[in-house]
Amino acid sequence: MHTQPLKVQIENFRAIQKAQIQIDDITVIAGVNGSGKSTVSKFAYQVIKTAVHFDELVEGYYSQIIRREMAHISIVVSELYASLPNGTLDENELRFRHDLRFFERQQKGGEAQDSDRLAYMIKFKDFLNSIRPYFSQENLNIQPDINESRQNRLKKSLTEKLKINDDSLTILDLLERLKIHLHNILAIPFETKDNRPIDFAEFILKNTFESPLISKSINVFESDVPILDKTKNSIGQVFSIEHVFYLDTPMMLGLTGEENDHRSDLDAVLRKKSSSQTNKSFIESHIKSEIIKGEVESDETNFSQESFVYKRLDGSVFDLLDCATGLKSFAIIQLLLQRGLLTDKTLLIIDEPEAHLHPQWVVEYARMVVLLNKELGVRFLIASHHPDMVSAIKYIGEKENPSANVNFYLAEKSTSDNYQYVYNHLGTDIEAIFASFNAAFDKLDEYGETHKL
Amino acid sequence: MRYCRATTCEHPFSRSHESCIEVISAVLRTEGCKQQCRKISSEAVCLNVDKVEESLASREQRSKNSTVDFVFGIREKNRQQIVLCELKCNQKEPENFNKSNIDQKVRQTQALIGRDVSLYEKPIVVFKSKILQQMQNRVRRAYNNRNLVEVLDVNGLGELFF
Repeated sequence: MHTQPLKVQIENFRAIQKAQIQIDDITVIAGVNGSGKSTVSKFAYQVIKTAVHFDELVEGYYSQIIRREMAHISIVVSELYASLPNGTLDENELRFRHDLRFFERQQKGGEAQDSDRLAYMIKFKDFLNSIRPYFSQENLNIQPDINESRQNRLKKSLTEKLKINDDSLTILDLLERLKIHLHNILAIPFETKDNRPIDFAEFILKNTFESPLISKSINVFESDVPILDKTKNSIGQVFSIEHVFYLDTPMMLGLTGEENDHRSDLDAVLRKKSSSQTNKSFIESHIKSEIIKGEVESDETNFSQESFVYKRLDGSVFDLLDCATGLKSFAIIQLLLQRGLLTDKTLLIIDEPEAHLHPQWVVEYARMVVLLNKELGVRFLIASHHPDMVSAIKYIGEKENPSANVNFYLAEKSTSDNYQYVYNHLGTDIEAIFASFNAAFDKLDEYGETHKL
Repeated sequence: MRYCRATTCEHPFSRSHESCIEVISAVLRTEGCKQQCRKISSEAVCLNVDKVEESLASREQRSKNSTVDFVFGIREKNRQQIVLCELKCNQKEPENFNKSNIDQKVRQTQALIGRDVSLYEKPIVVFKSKILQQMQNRVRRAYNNRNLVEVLDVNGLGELFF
């Protein structure tokens, strides 16, 4: 049992009237299509991911803004140089000019890193300070060779950049404003990282849910402490999770350019080279030797490192994109294991893991879930429609790891609203889930001749 | 159709094995069905086919065949039927359902009681309520999703026939 249980709480959001779902060792949620299971998965993923990777998300977001700023600054710098009389730059300024050209080449070649951009912005601020004297009124008066039309062009590019419509401002004023503008841009990411404002979570969640969420009664808790702290307007820390992944289809493996956050997130981590601290557990060798009869790896021969290959035990090698979809379900787990990403600080959220699997592999998958929890402490939140997945998790779990805290939930139609669902906690009793599965037999009896021998 | 004591007791096979006519609730108890159903009267009786087969096997000096646990009669107006009932109340977990075992029991019970009265459309298998839904699922799948066996708990048995 994990010492820091997580809990997803959702009320009156989309199809969910009420859900309080505890994620301890293994949690399975069941329910008909449209009962909000994916909403639970996506919401839990986005909130936990935002809390765990907050700093990286902030850096990623502001690097886009900084990238846009860089494009403007390059124009302004060119204008500044063109406006200055020849021979006026000292050694430091010349060095900056050299750095600038180098950076611009990197930027064009796509080699510039976010940290390079940040460092450049700081240098640029210093540069602005150093060239101030050249644009003082006194200097402009005694330097008639500073071309007037150039000055006007510089003023225009600065006013456009700063979105200012005031002709009375001098170049010096505008450079001062530019400095303040740059300071703000540089300061915001640091302040955001320090304050962890809840608005940032709203911004991240908006991409998935497209509606204001913070005002709604939805949250994720760790040990009963809310992650979205609405009283302090901040996003709390999650201590018990370092990695969270959301797998909604095995077909997400090996596809690049995915628009869905969770798919591109997984793609990014799987494309990184294996860490030296891989979990060489027997689960990995069981998947390799007993289930998929081979191993999935990054394609080392591919220069761009943008594909995976399946190496079968007999030595044959196949592009993973050409392999069976069911195999990819296990391949994702295999790759996560190889990269040391499945630990007691990992939460795996999986929607319908049974999709694309033969019933035998459904049971193998369920066993793998139980063993990953037992051996490595990986936590699971699973949405399932499959009787074998549900029963295998229960009964294999009871045999392999009786002390694990396994919880089943069933989304049942609300008594007050025909379009909404209430998630009932079943503990380990899966009878209600099976009653819901068995409704399919009533349909079969209604539409077919099932009673005939 | 509802339970009928006369149909149960006057069946030719029952008449020839009157000593094996027993109170249903007693058979349920003996077979481990702790759950009782008020709808099943304490007066309701059945033919304990298991016991009949035991005595026949002993008399004929052969090994005992597998049969269902008990049968009882149902009636609606002039229409009478015999219900075959197998008790699995001792089963705690939803282990794999042994289809061929049930099929064999049904076949051998049919052979014993003959065709003097027609049989209810499906044999009944009774499980604990705790695993009823899971067993309904397993039994249906064991029969390739065909609806050939009625899976009930004791309450379901009472609701359906009593």
